[in-house]
Amino acid sequence: MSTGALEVITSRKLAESMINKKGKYLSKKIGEFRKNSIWVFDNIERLRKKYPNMYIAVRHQQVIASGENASPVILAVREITNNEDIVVDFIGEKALNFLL
Amino acid sequence: MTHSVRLTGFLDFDYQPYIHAYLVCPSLGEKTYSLLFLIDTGSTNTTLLDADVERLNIDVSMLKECSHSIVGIGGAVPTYELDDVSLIFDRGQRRFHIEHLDTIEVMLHDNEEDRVRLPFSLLGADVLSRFHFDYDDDLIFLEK
Repeated sequence: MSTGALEVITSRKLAESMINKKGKYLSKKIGEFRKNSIWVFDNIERLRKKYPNMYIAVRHQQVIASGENASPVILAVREITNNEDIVVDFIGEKALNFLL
Repeated sequence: MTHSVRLTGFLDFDYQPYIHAYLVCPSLGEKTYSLLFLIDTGSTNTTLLDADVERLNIDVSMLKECSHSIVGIGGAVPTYELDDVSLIFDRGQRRFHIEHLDTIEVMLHDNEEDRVRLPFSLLGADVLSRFHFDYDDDLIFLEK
């Protein structure tokens, strides 16, 4: 009688598996996320005027949801899509200086 | 000098350095999570911040609490540990690079009103110390 050892799924193995199975899809997915987050940076002045002190959700370089609080915006995004690659960002009326 | 790995990030208008990556963690399921990281040499550990914890729907009640709190300029914040994490960086042309971390920190203010809603998390010294940096105009490169 043979006993099989349970294979432990480590994050490295999972990552390698994802890359091997879905490399093309991963490139596209992170490419889309990257485009959306850079779009926010590039359009920040216009977004500040339209959505001052509001949260926005961005997909395909378009604002798909906005609101004064984050939770409703995040919930609205989940109703539209279960894609976690949507960018959700707070658009402050003024630029923030970070001290991190 | 040639490098075996070169990861490309970018600088925003205020010259803050960022880089995108996927996070993979078996305890979060077989999914990849897209993240924008601020390259933060001032952070000891790579840390997920409130906004990403909420956006990615991470249930901190399933995580173990850190024995310490994160202490920053703003004070101390409850933190949790996420074990066995890999970050996948896209090198372009369908090439990827993986950095593994035994643990990253997850920060979530208990009070929703206190949550810091920045659109990024922090890539800390635990990863950054493995690379050296180079800059070119509005790009930052992590190389090794």
